[in-house]
Amino acid sequence: MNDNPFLPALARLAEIRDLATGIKLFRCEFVDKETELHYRPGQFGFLSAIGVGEAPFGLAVSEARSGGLAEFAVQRIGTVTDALHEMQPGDLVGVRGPMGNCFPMDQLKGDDGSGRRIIILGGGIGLAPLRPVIQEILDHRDEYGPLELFCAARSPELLVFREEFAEWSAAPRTTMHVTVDKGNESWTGQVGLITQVLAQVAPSPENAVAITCGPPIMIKFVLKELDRLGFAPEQVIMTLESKMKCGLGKCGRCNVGDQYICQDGPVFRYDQVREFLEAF
Amino acid sequence: MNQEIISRQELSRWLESLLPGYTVIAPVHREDRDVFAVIGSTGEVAWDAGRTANPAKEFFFPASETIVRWRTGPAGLQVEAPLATRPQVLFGARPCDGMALDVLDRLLLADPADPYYKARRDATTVVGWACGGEHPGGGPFEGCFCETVGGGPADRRFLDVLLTRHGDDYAIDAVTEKGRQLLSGAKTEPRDLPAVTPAHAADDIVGAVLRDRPQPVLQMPPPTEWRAQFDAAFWTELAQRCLGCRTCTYDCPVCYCFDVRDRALPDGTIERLRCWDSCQGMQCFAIAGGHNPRPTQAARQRQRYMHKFLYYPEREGVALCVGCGRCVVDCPVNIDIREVIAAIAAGATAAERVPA
Repeated sequence: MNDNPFLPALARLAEIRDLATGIKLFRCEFVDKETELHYRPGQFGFLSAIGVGEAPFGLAVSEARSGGLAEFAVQRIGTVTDALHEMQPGDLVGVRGPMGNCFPMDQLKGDDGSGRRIIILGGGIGLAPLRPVIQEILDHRDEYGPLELFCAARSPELLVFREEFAEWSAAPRTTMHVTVDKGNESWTGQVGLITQVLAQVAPSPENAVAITCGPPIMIKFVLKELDRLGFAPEQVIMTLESKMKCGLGKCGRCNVGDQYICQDGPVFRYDQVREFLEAF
Repeated sequence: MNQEIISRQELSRWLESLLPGYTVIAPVHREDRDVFAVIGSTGEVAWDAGRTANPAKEFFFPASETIVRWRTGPAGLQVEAPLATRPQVLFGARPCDGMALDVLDRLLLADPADPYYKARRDATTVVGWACGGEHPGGGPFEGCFCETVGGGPADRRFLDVLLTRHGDDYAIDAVTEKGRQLLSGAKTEPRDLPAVTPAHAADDIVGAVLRDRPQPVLQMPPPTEWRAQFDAAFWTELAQRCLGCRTCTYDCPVCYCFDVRDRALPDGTIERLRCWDSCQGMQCFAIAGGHNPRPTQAARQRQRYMHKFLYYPEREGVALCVGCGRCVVDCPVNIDIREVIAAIAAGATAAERVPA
């Protein structure tokens, strides 16, 4: 976007949408109309509340569906996100990106056109960086194998992108499981941990790949369950987050072993980081 | 063999001549310590300085610096990134201070280069002097171990000019073109020094003293040894002594981890600052919401040493350490990085406590 990778591009909040309790979707339109954002599913960017700070967020929409806007799902959880949640459409923010690697979309297709089965497990706001993958698959449905989606949250009001679930589940060769840890009076769907649903459905590991993102505690137990179901570490892909200050491999904050989440990740195969995953 | 020599007086005069055009950083006496500082006249230079208490890092990578500035003007919000471009000379650097720059260059100048570091690095010429030999400040110093990480007391590779004390004078080794150009105004004279070859005067002059160095050189264990100790109880034992004070990281010439913060000034200007951070602080790795992937001092101690001797070598080809020994002498509880290296080399286990 410019020569100095620390310099954010100014962008205007074109749309702010409530996704769930304490979670909003921000669509950012670059002030300089020449600025273009080209990226792949899984990449992330930094969003600045100018004067408060900046934080990394996964790009939450596929480029094809972005309309040229940078889109981030933001959970109100700290000082930067507090400030972002107070903002109104038309306010100025800073955007840096795209950064990091991306999901191996070609590998998801299966090397031999055999229609590899894709299992996607998203917990809470962890569904946001997976949404571009889902959109990419749905937009090129013939090129990918069967898709099995597991969407979970602690409670119904924390489920993000609910209004898109109908589109997702109606797609050909797509199955969807939605569950919440704890229901409420109006919830008629499934109640239970994502790992319990995963164990019930028990997808076969044969010619399959699993992709997961969610809170650390969820990832920990999803990894265990996938292992129990017979998924090899090489068949499990995850996208990680950590404290990051630059996104450029310079600030020394986001390493998992000798891998930098910001540059070598955020997308990893489990076998790449298993040895160095410290405390979840 | 002819060797370019400069007298102390001429060296001082030359340095003085640089002051109008350059920011000159040199060792000076401050209270009971020697420190690197910007000088206003050569009268301030501590010619007999030992190892400076502070590394030269802050002159390339300040403890706090503005990286982005936003101002509201008639045309709306304007954004700028201030880059330092004033030429500077780092004078009196030790070979390990020069090596520290090479270690940092590998990360910070790699694509995409850190523009703030690069601007200062490009604008700086490094004039160092060799440790040992006849240098009054001496060296090697308590706790230092540059040979373990591939350096040496007369290592010229990462300096633009290497000076070696010889009697009342200094032998000059102009290592780089940048160094040669800076020296163009210096009044040097060739002198016949039978014992030395021009390019390596320092090796000959310093070498004699260092050959008598008492302790055997500490050997660096290979990456596999560090990897093997990832889960060792050793880290917990080390952490029981560590106060988490961060001194080791701030005093380190190559610890580079940083934090980024915004602040609003009274006139409405907003600045984004980056500041040194430390892996030894409790909150260093904690993310919003409270999750902390390194929630114990043991995990943070392990991160410090693994970063220096496993992760950085694997990524950048060199240790994130130049063996200067500052952390050894400054640690309030006497954690000694050499003992950590020795313990890993010996295959640390729960039973083998690091000697205090």
